[in-house]
Amino acid sequence: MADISLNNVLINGANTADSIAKSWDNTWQDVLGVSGSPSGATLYSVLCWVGTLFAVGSLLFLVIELYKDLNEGKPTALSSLVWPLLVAFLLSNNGQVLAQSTLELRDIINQANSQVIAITMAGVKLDELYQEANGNIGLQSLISNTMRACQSLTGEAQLQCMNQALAQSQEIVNNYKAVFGDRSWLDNIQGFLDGITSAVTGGGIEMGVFGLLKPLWMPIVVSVLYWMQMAYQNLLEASLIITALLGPIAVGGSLLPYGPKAIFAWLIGFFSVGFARLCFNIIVGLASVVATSSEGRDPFWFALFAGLFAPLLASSLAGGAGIMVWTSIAGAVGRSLKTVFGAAIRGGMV
Amino acid sequence: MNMIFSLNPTSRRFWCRLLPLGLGAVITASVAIQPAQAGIADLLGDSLFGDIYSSLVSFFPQIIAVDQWISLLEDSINDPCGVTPILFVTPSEPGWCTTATDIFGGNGSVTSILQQVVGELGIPDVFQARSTIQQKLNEAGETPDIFLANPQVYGIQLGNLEDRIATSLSAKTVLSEAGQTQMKDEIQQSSAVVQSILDTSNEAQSYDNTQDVVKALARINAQQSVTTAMNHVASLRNRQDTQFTNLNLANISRSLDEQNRDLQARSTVDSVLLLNLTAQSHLF
Repeated sequence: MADISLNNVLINGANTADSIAKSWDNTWQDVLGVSGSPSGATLYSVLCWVGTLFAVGSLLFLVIELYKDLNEGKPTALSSLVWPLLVAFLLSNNGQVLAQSTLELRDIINQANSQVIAITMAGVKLDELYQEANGNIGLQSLISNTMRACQSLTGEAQLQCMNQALAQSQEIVNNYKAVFGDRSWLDNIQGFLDGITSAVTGGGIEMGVFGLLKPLWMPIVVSVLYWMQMAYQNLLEASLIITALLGPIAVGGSLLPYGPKAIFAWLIGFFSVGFARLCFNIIVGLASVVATSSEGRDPFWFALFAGLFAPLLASSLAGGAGIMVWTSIAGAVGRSLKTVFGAAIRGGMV
Repeated sequence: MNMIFSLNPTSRRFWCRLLPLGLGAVITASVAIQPAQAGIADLLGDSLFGDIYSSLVSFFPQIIAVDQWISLLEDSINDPCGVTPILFVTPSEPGWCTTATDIFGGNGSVTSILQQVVGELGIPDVFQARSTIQQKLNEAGETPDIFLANPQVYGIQLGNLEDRIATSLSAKTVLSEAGQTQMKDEIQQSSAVVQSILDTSNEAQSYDNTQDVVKALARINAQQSVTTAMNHVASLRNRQDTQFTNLNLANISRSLDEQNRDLQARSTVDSVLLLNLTAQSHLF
């Protein structure tokens, strides 16, 4: 393990996370065509063209409705005239205004997220707590690896092997202490190491070693869970981009005079995805408080939590919230239509 | 003395039976063994003390062989990288000739350790070599191998490698081209010695003033020398067989070490994978 500089791995890991975030930023700029994209049709401009087709189609229905209203002498809602102007404004110039607005919306979501991540629990930020929980898992896996080789040896060779493994483990723990400071979960592992060291000095190996030795399959399974978690985080980002790309079509379809406006559905969808991310960060952040507490000795449940259960929970929470909002908006539109029609009818009677 | 010269009928029958057997052995040996070369027999010439003579010369080739074997082994140890890779345990194995690590000092290979522990006979002391390797690694507290972090386990593997090197060097002294040439010389030498004994024995039969018993003894000793020579050839063949066995044992040892190493390396790879993932994973 001498050749693997732990500090470098930990610091490089943070850089990798930053670069992932940056690469998503760049993807956003490229996809929405606001990064000074090269000449020729961008994805967003193509979708704006489709959105315009939708708008034109919807406009026909709107005009028919207006004509019918005027013919029947009904008062025309002002919004009916405002919407076409708004849609034209948003979709003009390859949807530049809409793209910028979408990016602003994303910024809002990002800001909310950053604020949640920066919340402190017991003096430590959620994000840092999360990294500590990860560090706990990584550290235990490394220590287990240093000791695994000794389990096939016997007698003096095994004691020598354990001595070497303990020295290396201590070095690894010191590295982690340098990065994370003096933490209770590190004290736990230090306690295990001290116990085993004194037993080995006395010429034996105590049961404490089973607190540190993990099964061979564990790193693989936990790695898969981490991949699932990362995939979920990236999936949310990708969902946001896909939703953003559907923006022009939703705006175009908003001219349809029937039912609630499509743009509201789109906005709710967009914020729902953002809300899923927010939920995920909160759930995982709070779980990491427990995973790094002095009571949480084996932190491997955290990987299962963050990789499988938290995504399920966050998605269902966000989905449920989105549906609730959508239903209430649909209800509100229905009520407002009723009100408008009611007023019109009353006005007609008067 | 009279008793000896006037042999009773039983004794005569015994000699009568033995004589054709002895002659048969002589004829067989003459056909099988190459023509005599000028050798030690010439120096001893007409001596009739065949028993002393034959027992001396039958040991002589073996002593020469051990010397030559040692010199071949020394050559191999001093120039292990010049070995034509005819063996499965080839110089491609890590630490054979390539610089393995600074931990060992010198040119850093396991072979350099073997050279340091050569004993009085010029043969490396494999036990000392193993403990030297283990000691140096344990003192260093680290390994040059990123897959095997533990010096104790790495030392065991390098110790096995060192044993395999010693085995294959030893096998090389027998099975290599030079080893085969040496063995051929040895066989020729012993056949020459046997031939000269037979000649001396034949000569003794023609001496007029020699007592019959002494002549018979000379004949018997000649037959014994043939038997000894045959034993010697058989032991040479045994040495070859043993080296082939050793070579295969070394290969089995290597395969087992590789399996063991694979297990350790897999564990390390998995742990480092998880370490990297835990370091990269962030909330965003």
